[in-house]
Amino acid sequence: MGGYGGQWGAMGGNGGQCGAMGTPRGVSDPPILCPPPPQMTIHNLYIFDRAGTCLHYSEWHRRRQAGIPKEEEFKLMFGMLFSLRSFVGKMSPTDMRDGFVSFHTSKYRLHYYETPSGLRLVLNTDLSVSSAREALQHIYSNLFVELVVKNPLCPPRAPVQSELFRARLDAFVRGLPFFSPRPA
Amino acid sequence: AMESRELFVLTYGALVAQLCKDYEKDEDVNTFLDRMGYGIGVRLIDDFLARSAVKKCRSYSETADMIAQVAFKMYLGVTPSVSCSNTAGNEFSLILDKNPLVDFVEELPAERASLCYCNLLCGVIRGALEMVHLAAEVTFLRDRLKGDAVTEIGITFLRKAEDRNELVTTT
Repeated sequence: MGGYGGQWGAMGGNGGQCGAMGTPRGVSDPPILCPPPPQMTIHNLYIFDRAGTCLHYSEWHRRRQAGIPKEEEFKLMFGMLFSLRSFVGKMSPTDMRDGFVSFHTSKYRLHYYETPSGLRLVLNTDLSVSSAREALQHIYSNLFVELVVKNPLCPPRAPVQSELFRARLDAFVRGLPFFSPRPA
Repeated sequence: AMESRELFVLTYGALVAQLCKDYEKDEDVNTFLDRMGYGIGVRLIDDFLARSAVKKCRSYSETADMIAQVAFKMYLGVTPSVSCSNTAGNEFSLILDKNPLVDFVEELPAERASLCYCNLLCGVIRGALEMVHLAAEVTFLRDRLKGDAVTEIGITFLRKAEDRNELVTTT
């Protein structure tokens, strides 16, 4: 499961893909100057177990709160995701593969990743992040499983207390190419 | 991986030996092993999912194959053969040709004739399956340590309440 750093470097986020589509380039065309990447931001992350308990929540650049207590916010988020997931499955006009993956508004995108064991990871980013699937998979496989699931002192189905998990998660998210250090 | 496997096998043996000291009856040791295995299985499933990156299985048969060919291989380095043992398509048997857990065990002592030495495995499988919404009964049907010709684990998938529409049973 190593080599993620190199992978992220090569991907470089959406802003790095300049001139990918369109007319083929000739030899005499001027060099493409890539515009600076737009402000890419990660707002927050939720991790739920399959019963709906919020195991972990982290914020990085959240500019607006929901205005309700955190407990209610978690319940609302989980409930909405649960409904969306089953709605997507029912109403899908073609065969389902991954099911519900993300939704976006004009301001942010919510990315969803669910494991077969029912663990749900939710990441809110700005619109320039088209897919956070690999990041969420990494958080699950390399951080959550390694530091929480395999830790005999971490009781299952209880909010994660592990400081190590929190610190590693924070470091990983801040190291993502679509994480902008200053709030836009 | 081989070195730590030996340590694991020896540790397992020490565990069973200690349980035999703690519990007089074979059934109690078996139950305890199963319970411990269950506790391991409910966590091991996430490690398995993380490392194997497999998609959801679409049938009991696919699940049984996954257990034998991917999970057993990953954790014990062996690949039991799988067969479906009933027409309804929910009973499977895994035949273990090689079982590393009994590498250092020749035969059960006479006073422990009903001991399911590897019962931990049954608990592990049961716990792991439960975490992916599959209720199952897992037991040792035959055991070389008890004098049978082969070691056979039986998995019976029970009907489950949730996510039924994601499962297609093969007949």
